[in-house]
Amino acid sequence: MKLFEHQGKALLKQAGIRVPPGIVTDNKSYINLSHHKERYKDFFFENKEVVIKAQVIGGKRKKKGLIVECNDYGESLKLIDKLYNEQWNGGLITTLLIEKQLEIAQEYYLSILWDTRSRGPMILLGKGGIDVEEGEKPCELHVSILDGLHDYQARALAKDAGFKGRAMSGMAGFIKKAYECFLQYDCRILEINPVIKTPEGLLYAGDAKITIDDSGVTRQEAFKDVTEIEDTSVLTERALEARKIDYHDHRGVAGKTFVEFDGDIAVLASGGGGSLTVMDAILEAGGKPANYVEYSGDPPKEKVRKLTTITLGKPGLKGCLVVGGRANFTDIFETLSGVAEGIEALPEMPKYPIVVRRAGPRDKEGFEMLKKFAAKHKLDMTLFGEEVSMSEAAKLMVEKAYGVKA
Amino acid sequence: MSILIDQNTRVVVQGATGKMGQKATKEMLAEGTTVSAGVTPGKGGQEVKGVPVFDSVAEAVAHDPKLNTSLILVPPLLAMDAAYEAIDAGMKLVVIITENVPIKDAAKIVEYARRHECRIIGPGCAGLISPGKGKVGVIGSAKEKDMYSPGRIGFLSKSGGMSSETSMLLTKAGLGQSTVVSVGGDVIAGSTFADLLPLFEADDETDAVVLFAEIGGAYEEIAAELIKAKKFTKPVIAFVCGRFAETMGTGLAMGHAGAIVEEGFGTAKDKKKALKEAGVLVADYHHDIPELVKKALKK
Repeated sequence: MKLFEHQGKALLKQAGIRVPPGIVTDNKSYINLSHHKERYKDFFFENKEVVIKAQVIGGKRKKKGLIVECNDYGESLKLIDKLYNEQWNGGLITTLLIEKQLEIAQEYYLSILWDTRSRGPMILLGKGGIDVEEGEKPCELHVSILDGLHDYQARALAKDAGFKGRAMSGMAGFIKKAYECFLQYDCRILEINPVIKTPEGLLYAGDAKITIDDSGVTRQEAFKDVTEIEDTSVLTERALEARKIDYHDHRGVAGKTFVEFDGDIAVLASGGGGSLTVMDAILEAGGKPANYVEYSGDPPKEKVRKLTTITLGKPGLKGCLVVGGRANFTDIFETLSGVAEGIEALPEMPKYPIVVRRAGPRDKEGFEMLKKFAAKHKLDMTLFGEEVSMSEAAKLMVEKAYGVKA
Repeated sequence: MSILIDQNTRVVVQGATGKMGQKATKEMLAEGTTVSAGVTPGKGGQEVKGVPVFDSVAEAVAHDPKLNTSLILVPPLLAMDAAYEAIDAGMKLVVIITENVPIKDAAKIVEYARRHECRIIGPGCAGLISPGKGKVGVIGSAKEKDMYSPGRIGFLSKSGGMSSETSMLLTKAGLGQSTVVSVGGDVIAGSTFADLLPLFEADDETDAVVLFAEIGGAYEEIAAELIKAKKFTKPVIAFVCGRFAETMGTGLAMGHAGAIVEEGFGTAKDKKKALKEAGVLVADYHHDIPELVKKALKK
């Protein structure tokens, strides 16, 4: 789960990290309502120079004109209106963060993430700014998750990155707070770029890019109502609906990986590796997947039912592929029943071809049930067991959907 | 021979009374694996498929002092505690099937296990099987026709489901398996390809190793480095899935939590390149794997 800058900064602030004074305007009308306008006016004249930042997920906002600076009140209102009319991922920008413009003496880059080599947390610290990716390599520190981050290690990292004297200790304190925040909120990535050093020597988080580990979200009170803080401009409505299936129900995985594409072959795939293998095969055969999703870990029937209804709710579909590798553990009858019930819940029965390739526990019972189901609803349904490989089934789906040989 | 499990493997199932725990216990017993105890706190005194259930792993060890392996099938937020308990009770192999274990917890488990010389498989994996000798987990069966069969091919898979699917392809081609390990695809894995390849190198009943790889992370690249440095010298055949994620967009978490393409890092293209440069035969289609194994064995 990716957080917006203002949400990330709220976490950092709680962890004791300085963030620039600012206000969040959460919809277009906010700034136009007189009492809010008064509040903004006070904020502006208190600070005199502001930065207006569109709250969207993604990098290079400054280069894209989504971060603007202003020192004139009237001008700032125009800029706010202008930003609200900018398009982002097919939607309008809904939230702005307006902050006091800080005087910058120096900028740094701080990032904390999981390193797959050391299999533990890694802290990166270096020179910051908008072109940091192209700049010199940041200094690295690997932390023992069990021993924790010691002060001396944080000081050594700060020193490596060029901090001296009191500034070294100051930066070390900043790193420690960020590390605590990283662990406390089950972060996957916590990036602050830039860390701003003011002429007085104070350190501020100038930005915050935080991704929360989806598996840790369930135990985080702060993210209880997850969909509310999810960036809806990145996820489609269907993807959001699909994600809700998994929240607070750990029995198997069903909708959390749902991604929608501009295609016409709906995919209900099982297993992480199997679903990737099948998506590759659809593309290989010239097909256009309408979505990616994988359900696995023996999810209950209700989860598969919900997922099926959401996936097949997309208009303009030309085919539906229900596919999985030879299951070890997933009850095929149970999941195929979920598929059937999901189809039954659609406003109208699909006229496009449906190809099923499944094998595993209780598959014969599942196939018998589907045969009857297809006959009852006059569905164009093809059933394959393990005699046909997953990639072959994907190819056949493409051929049936478009009526051509792939 | 085989790796990790053999006739001396004695298993305790943590989470034995749950739906998955019961299924796994039944399957492992059917496979000929010794399952001498189950553990579910608060349910000590019950039985699962004739196996006694205890409140703690320590009590299970008191019942069977030769216990050496734990299978963990508990809810995601309880997995870390279960793993610590198994390690503290002296288990040398801990297989964590539980999916969606938070990354932070997985990292703690891995470091704790390292300090106690315990090997972790998973989290988020299907387990492992040495066909004909036994299995730990929910990886499928050698009793089922055309699935697993005893033989001389080692197989390591990031995908649980594809471990049986791929083994099925191998078995149909007459290529039996020495040991099949589903290592899981999470960001932090207890055992990676590079951790397990040396075991296959030392196993005189393994002639070649197949890797089922996925986009995301650096475990394929690390394996390629190991092979390039001649620390693994037997033939390796690999299939890397997830090309589509690069075609359709980056930054999307696909399948496993580990399968994330982060701006050019851990892509299928890079992994294939690294593996090929190390001398690995890389299959373009999943069903090409058996043919490549045969080709490698002829050399």
